[in-house]
Amino acid sequence: MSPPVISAPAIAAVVVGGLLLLVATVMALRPKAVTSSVGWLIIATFAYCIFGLAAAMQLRESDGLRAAAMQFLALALAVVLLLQYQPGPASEEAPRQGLASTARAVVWLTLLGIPPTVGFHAKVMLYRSLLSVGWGGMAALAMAAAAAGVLPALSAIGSRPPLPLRGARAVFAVVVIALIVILGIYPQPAISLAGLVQNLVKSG
Amino acid sequence: MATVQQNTLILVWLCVLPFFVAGCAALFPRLSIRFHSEAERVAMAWAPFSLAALACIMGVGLTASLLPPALAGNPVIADYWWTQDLYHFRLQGDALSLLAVFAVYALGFPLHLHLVGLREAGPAATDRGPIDHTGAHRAALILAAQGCAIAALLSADLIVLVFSVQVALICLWGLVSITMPQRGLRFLLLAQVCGLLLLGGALLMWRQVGDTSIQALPLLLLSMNPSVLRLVSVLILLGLLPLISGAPAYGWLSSLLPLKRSIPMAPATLLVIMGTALMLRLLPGVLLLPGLPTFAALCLVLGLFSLWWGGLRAWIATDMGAFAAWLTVAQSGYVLVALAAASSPNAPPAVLQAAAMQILLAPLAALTIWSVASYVATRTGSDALPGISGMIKTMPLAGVALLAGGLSLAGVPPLAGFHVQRLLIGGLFADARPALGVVVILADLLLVAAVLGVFRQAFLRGEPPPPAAPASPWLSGQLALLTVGIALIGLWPGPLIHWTEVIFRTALSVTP
Repeated sequence: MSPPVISAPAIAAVVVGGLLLLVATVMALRPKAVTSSVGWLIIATFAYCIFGLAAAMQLRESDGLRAAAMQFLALALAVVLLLQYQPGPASEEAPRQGLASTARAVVWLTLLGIPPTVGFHAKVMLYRSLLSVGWGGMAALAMAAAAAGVLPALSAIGSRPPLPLRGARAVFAVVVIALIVILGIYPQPAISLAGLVQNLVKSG
Repeated sequence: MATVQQNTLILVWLCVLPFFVAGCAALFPRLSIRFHSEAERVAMAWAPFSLAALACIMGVGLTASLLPPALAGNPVIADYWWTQDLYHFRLQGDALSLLAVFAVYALGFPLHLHLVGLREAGPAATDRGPIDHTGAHRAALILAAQGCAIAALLSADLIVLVFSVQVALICLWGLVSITMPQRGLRFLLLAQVCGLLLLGGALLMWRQVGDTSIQALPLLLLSMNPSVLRLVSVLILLGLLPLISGAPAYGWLSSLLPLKRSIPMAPATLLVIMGTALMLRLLPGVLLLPGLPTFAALCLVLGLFSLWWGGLRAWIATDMGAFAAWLTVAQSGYVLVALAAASSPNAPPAVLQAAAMQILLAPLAALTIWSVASYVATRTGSDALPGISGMIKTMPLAGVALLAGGLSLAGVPPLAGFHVQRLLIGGLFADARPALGVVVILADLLLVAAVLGVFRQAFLRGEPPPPAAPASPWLSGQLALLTVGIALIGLWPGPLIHWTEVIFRTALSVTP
């Protein structure tokens, strides 16, 4: 049986996504990139979204669009949580605040696709969609990048504690953390939302 | 087939809710200050521990009620709707899984009682005074890790298994990070690496056969490409091996010892129980058969290293906590050697039976040793061996418990661990592997020497014993319970041997 023909848009999307993922992961792995590594991981997550779109371009029946939407949802929640931080590093003497440290850990967990966060389900859907169109190599690359991403996470989480979150920012951070974890434990609402996006795009 | 009604389970867990609400008062101290007076907070501070202990009692009761149908060969199934079209959160308890769950609960119950005992010892035994909120957080994280380990053991879908294993490791990361953030990060690394290896294997299987259900695994995999099947099995083996080998424990376990004694034991023991039971559960299916040579070699190397390294470090330990930590590492070695030996085509079922039995008995004996270390440290203020002596007069119960737990781990009759060693060594000789059998016997002798050495130093030396505070009834009761349990199982091993035989007839006899 001859291998399936890959469409030109799908090839373009895969190449762009693959390069973006490689560059972002390598940049995040630099030893001095503790503060910027989360930014590079966000860019890498965009690459995962592109992979999902590429899978959808290759095979309309695949779950690629849904995986991309799910990945985007996980990314959006992580970025919203990240925006609650005050700019500037905390001093060594500043007391460690449990909420701020937890928020930082949850951002990393969801970006890396570690449960119990919604990012886990986004990653599983993405790997499945890549495998369903026969792109095992791209799935392996995506998993390897997720494995490599844990190294900057170890540096970042082990670094100085972030500034404490206060007032409305603290309340909002609690809500977003709860949302990320609840959707990680019970992912059906997120999956349904992603499915809705997929249907809208397909019907459009 | 016995099916558990969801309503029953929900009702049971709703009964815990009031305790959970009370526990929240201690889990979130800032809220607690607003709502309760100081006296009320002191009165409610035990709530998280009792919540956790109650959950363990309920777990033991629930598991015990499900064991009869499971031991009769009928799987116990609880179906939970998780996602509509991706994967089902389906729990299926065969005899092996339920026995492992029983071990996890049995480990957790004395652990939480032990935390209560430490609280009652007052400010000298805790970090932050009588109201120790860190302890409450620990109790909650241990409970969560236990729950996830149980979900992993019972899960009927490989994706759910990966999810549960990873969440258990994340809980353990949080547990260790409370006091040692840098060292705890190793659990995060382990969670990601093990999780991705397991997930890779599960997804490759899904790609080939379109399903990740464990129950249908043997039949589904018959249609699989042999080379892909080999890759799947190697990925899953590599994902599970670090859990069994206690690999993350080597570097940091002993350095955690100045903290609460039971805390470092919990992650190591939970990992070993979870990893071993999962390996045993997946081993008999076709899933792991193609990877057996790789599996056997890795298991044997890691097992012998764990066994001898743990034994030697226990032998030269200078305090009882370190002694307990390294004995725990050595125990994972026995499991790995048994699994490696069972991979031989001509291996008698006894060696695999030994591994299954070790899941239940090793945590019991290890917990006894940890409890002795805590008991001595709580009463005398130190467990450093040069500073304690002649304690057989003041703490005879601790001495008896140390001998019972330590010699059981070394397989000395008539204690419980003897039956594990009897099956393992007998199986090795029956499989014409006398050299490996002799190596295991020598390791047993090393452990006996280590245990007797510590006992002589702490309990038999002629120097006057150090002044001792009154014993906590919780800790004394725990020591007595564990010692009697080890002796009773050793003298009356019938039910345990019967259960492990049933495992072979049911779970482990799955063949395509």
